[in-house]
Amino acid sequence: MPRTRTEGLEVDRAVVVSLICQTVREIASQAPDIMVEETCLFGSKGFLDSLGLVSVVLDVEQKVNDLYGLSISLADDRSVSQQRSPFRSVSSFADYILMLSAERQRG
Amino acid sequence: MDGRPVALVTGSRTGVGRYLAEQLVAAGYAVVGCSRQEADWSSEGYTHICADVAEEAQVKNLFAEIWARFGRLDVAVNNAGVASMNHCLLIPGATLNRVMSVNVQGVFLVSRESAILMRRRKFGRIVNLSTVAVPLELEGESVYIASKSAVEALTRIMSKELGAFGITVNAIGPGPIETALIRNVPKAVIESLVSRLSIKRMCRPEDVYHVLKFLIDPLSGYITGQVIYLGGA
Repeated sequence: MPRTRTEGLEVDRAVVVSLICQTVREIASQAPDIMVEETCLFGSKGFLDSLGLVSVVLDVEQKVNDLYGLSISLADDRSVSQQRSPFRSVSSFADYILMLSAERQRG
Repeated sequence: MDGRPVALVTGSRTGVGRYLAEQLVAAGYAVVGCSRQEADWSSEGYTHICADVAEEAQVKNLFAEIWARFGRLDVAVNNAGVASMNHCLLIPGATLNRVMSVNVQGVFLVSRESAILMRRRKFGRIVNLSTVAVPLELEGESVYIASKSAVEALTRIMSKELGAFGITVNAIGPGPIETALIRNVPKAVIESLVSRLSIKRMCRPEDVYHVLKFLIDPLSGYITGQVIYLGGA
């Protein structure tokens, strides 16, 4: 159901990392017990298949937008690229969200 | 948010879109319709939102509204479309761009955003409007048919990509219907088209709704990636 947005909050990297890890665990049963920023999500060293990746990306997008009152879109042509995907690791995923959030908040 | 299933019909201001929206309301759906202009009709259970399906930002706003007001989306009918009936040597590039923007980009954007909402409940029915002109390969409709061929390709491929989310994607290909879309098509051309169908009459909006009703039924979850032509093309 729609959630109340808390607009104006600054996007916090630690929160974003936590959201990513929590979402991955919800969707991927093969996710490691301990996930850190260096954990590879997608690609030759990752464990998400393309369907799992789509689900994670869309759920994280929704959570970030709900939490921070943003309307960022994580759709990216490089999504399934082995080398250049912004979703290849927890760290690159978080970096990507922070970059888009900063762009959005700058208007 | 009263528990009724929610259906979106694009291009619902007039013609077939309006008819489908009215029938879905009568069938118990909360219906959201959209068009570039305000609707000049209203109905309890019907909400009209102005949006150009060819504009990504407007499409995103449309779906943000649907989510905020209803919290779900069960059915999306991609009805909005524009036609171009002309000899290929007389079609300006701008016409090509407009037809592709509305008929292809519009269907893609609305389907993508629909699926993003539908996957949250692991259920969805996307129905695209094509035309019997695709299999008949009618002369004088090159750009229109090219756009609807693309819609059929999107139907088939998106059905594969969205099946895992409980979402079906199908298309209906009606014969010619008395609407503004074919207002400027010479009568002889329409008669020629009808003569090539198995059922020698114009298509009616109720013919389209009959198939739509079947495709969006919760029991139709095993039917996806199909294009159903009406009139026997």
